Amino acid sequence: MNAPNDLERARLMELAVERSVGGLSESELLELERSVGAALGGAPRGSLDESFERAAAAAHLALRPPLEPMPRELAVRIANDADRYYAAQRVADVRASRAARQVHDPLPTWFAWSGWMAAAASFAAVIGVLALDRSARQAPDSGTQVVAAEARSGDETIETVGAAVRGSRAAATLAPSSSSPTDSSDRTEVPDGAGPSDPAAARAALLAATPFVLRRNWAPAGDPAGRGVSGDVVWDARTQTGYMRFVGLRRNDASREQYQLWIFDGRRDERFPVDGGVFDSVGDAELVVPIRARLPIGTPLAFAVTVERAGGVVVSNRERVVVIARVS
Amino acid sequence: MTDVTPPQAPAASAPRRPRDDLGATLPPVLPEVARGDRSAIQRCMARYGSLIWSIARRFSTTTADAEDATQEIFLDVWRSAPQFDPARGSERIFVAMIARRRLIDRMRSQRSRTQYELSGLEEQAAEVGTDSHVDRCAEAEIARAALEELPQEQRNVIHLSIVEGLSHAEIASRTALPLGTVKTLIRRGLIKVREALGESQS
Repeated sequence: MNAPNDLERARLMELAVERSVGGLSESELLELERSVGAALGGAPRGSLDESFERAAAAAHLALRPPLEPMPRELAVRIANDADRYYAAQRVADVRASRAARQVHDPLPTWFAWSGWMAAAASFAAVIGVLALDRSARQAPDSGTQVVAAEARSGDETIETVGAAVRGSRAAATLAPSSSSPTDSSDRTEVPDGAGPSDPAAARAALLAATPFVLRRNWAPAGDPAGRGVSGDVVWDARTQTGYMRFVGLRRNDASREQYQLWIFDGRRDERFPVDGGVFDSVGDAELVVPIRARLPIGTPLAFAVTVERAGGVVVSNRERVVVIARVS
Repeated sequence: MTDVTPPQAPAASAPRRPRDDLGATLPPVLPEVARGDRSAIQRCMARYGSLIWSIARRFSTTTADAEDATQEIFLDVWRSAPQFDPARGSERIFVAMIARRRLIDRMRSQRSRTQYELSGLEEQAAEVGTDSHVDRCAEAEIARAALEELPQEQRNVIHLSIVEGLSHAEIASRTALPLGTVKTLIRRGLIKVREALGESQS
């Protein structure tokens, strides 16, 4: 990695200050995260700018905003959230460790897919219940009703997750390394400054310009949409850019479902891969899609594509895993 | 006026490492929260509920929005509790950082927020530190001292940005200052606070 020069450092500081007071646009935020990732070798978000966030928080408290007590009803909901969060976390930990013991994978660094699914499902259940808690606020008669996550079927839970995501971003907080879903138009565009508008050309340029770019082939993962699919994923850790190439990827109905990339990062909790963005396939012979990792990727372990509802999800239920590209 | 003892000037050689909230009277609760301790969770809510709720109210356009934000922030707190390191700063600042980060992310995604009625805000901002409702922590007192050295106009701009959550453009409109000036005042003010906190080394 290259140390930032004075100009780059000044720009980083400017972006860090702006971020601490909410002055960054989405493209500037992406620029900051990529710059931080490049400068620090893929360090987690916030590594460079936390001092300004700390300063802003200290200034905030110093300016003494008047306080008002939190509404009791809200406190009850938050307490219920906490109960469910920690209960689900315990269940997820147990299931993940149990599943990991059952997996006889010759690659011990592989992330116990079934365990990951189990953990994610537990969190998804929590998200679903949180969504119900929110809707309960809008319907006062049922405001105090507690719905057990275990009582809901998987499909119901996942759909509820979708509703939660569509209605609020609260669910995103349960997925430490995945970005919040946004509308599909946002997710399918190349971010400002991310590269040429022709992804195929950009991919070729990346491969030509960077000798150490990571490149791995896709392998079908069981979902019908992945049958006969070939192609690869390329990733440049230095610039935090990459592209997916598919041949034979089935056309999707973008109004109902979309493909979504997940990146497993060795520096993060393996249960929560980084959201790499949603995308569509029009069924062309070859499709090249830029990767939109919202968080810096330190050590990619694998890339996986799933089918999710339109707009993407925060936590995938992994029911439809299309292709996987393992790094190690 | 407050009865706060003015903080000492930051040491030149070693970064200032703030102590716990309210001196040493309140031990951190987040380590216990990280273990899922229910009583700790309740103490955490009691200790920081008003702070988070009040910040969320300032940054939100509706009560429902503030409630959503507060729920999100507390989930962030539960999730981030294992990362709290008392050696790096006070728990109150850690929680405030989490709250601000979440609210800023929400603002960025929404962008359609309406403005609050800000009548009399400048006068309020002029009296830095006279409100006694907020528990004190060492870092806040250091920041307060740093802010008090700033010109009144700059303090007002920082107040509008940090406490009220206004965008730079909104502040420029409200204060009739050029947008670039607003940005500069905020940036220099935060750099000064950051230096006072002994965090300029990064």
